[in-house]
Amino acid sequence: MKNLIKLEYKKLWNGVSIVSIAALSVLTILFSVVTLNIQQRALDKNGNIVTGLSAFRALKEASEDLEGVMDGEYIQNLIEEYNSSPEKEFLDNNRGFLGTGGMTKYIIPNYVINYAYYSLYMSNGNDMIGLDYEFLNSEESFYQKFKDAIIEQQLYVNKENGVFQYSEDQIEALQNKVDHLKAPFKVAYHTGLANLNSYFGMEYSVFFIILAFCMASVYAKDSMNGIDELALSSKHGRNKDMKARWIAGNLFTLTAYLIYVGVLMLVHGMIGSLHGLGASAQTFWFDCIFNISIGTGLLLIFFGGLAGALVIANIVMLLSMKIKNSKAAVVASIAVVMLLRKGTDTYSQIKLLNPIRFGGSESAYNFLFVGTAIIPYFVVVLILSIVYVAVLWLIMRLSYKKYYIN
Amino acid sequence: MLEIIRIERKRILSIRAFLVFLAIVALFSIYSVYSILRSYEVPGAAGIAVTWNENLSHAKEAQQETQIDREFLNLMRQHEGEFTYVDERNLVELVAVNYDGKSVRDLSDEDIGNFYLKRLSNIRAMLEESQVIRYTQEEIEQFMQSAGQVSEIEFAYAEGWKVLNDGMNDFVPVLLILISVLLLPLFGIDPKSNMTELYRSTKLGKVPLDHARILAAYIIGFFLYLTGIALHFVIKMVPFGLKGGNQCIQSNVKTFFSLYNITNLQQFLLNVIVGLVTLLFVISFLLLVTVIMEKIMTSAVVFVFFWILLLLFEQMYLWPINHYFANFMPLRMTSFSHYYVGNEIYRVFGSSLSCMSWSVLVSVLLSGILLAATIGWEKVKRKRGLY
Repeated sequence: MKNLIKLEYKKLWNGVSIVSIAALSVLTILFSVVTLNIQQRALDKNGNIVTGLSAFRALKEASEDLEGVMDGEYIQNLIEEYNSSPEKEFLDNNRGFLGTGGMTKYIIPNYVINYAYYSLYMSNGNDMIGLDYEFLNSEESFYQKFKDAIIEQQLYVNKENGVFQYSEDQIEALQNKVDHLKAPFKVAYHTGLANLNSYFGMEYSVFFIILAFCMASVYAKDSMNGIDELALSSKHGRNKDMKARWIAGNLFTLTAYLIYVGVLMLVHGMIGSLHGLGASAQTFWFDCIFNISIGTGLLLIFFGGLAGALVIANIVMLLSMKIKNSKAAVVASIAVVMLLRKGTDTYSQIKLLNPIRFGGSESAYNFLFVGTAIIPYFVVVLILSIVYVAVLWLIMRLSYKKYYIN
Repeated sequence: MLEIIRIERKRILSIRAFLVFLAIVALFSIYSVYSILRSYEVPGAAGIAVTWNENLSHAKEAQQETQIDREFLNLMRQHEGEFTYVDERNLVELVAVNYDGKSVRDLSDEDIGNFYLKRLSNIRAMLEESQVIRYTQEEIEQFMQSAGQVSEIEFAYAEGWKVLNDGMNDFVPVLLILISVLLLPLFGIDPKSNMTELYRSTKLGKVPLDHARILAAYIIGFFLYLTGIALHFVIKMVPFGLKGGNQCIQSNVKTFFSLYNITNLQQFLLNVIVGLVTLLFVISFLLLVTVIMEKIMTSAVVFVFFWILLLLFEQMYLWPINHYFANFMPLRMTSFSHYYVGNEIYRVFGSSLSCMSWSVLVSVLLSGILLAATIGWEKVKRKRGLY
């Protein structure tokens, strides 16, 4: 069996898959470099405007003195420093000049503080960067305000988009969870990680197109590495070979996904750096109710993404088995991906059941209630993926028994 | 040569493939019309208060040879009740864009008297305050002269043309991709068929075959494009009717500030021609990709990723990328609306060219380069004895 899996895995590394992965890597690099180079501007530590890719390094360097634990002393120092800073003067005179948020070293700590005030209305506007708030007088009042802001946002989202409205007990459980948030937060420059998260989200669906091209031939009869009369008539052809192809297909998906994420991390690591992995998740995903770091959050997103990719890979393999024609299976798989993607164009939280969303940021901060127990969305993603893959595997097993070339 | 083209046409465009092509175009168009017609339904307390048919019938009846003038605006200002029907809503939208969101009822006598002057001052402000292009005074005056040619806007029924022209942004890229899929097997080889050595060793299997295939690609592509456009046109126009073709495009809220004094029919024809030029580029690009990659699937991968890259750039909407790259590429070339309201210009050898003219010119040039590269690549392969 092991040798059979090895053979099938090797067969999957053909011209189409190599070109596909190369094309995705080129696209990832080109898209990130070109777009980030054009749109980014930052103020460096001397207050000069730096444009292009070097803006990230300048920002990282400037942010070094703001790295630390956001306690009462940190907040008071921040207020003092910000109010007399060239950045404040610049943003006051140039509303929106450095993009909507303005790439200054204050975008990270000041936005965290402003979230406590604006809650669900928070955006990355220059008008939401000021520090003139009474609740900043003490560390306790700031964190209390911050926690209230999270509750306000969560209740609003549930009211507007929730599949089920929270009960009193659930609200109490949520409040309890938020009250136990670890404070003070760790703050660090994380713009490179923010880019990584954002570009991963934008390109995640493109990875499914790769899967459509690479996996559509696994059970097709018109492909060089697909099914033929020999395979079907051999002793273990129907049973073992089918399993080996399925395992090899999933292993290939894992490898291709690791390459994709690896390239993405390499590119964004080089552009904006991967600094800030240990910073509190709340400094990036403001309404996150879990005590995790940004690094852990990203890891959850990537694992969620892998789970979603495995589900899609199994859908493509099923289509390949049912349609038997690799070209038609590619078209059908792309159509399925597009339909699933269209299904996410809703505010309703029902979209969280869609495998296309498994690689979204929600894996880091979202949750669902089962009774009064708060289940992280990442756990839901894992359970759903297992269920989806198991169902697809069962359908494939049944279909393969009736698989005939003609 | 003609015989080879005929055979190649039969090989890649069988009756079945053609019928599938028509079916996909028809389905897309029907779905598009269905979605648009639903937007004409007016919801009420107990379901749909006005059906799309009633709404369009009302507009056809109400909008008879009307001009937007003092008398008409006065009449609309005194309109009682809600602005329910599409003809009323069209005017409300036009007034809102011209007067910074003002309602028709809030217009003063002075506003009404200065409707066209207000439009011109809005256009001037847009040009002078543009964040991306600094127009010279000469360019602004030239634009204003062009915009001033629209001194009266006819406000008759033209829903069909509006829907058709607005929807071409979505339809033409789909059509181009569909045609490309059908053309992929022209040069693309299916590894299981094993026929390449056989036909390449025949008398006409080298240069004549290559040339015939290239010609076949353009002929079939153009035929499919025009057929697709015709079918889409018929399906889109059936529920709306043909009225309003000779009305200026400024009666449409989306092109109200357009500088071009053209009619809806002219806009449609321009879109079709630009789409045809884009097809030329798409086919040339496809030919080069299939000639280099050889296999159908690998060619398809490269082609799909090229479109994905364009799609990602389109989502980011970065002006320098659009101006120096995407404007000459298929996706943005077929985002027709920006030609009419974007006011984007290219300064070439001391003269200002409109985005449409320059994009078409560059695209044709790029198509020629790609075609020459395809022919060159084939020649190199023949010389090296690769077939």
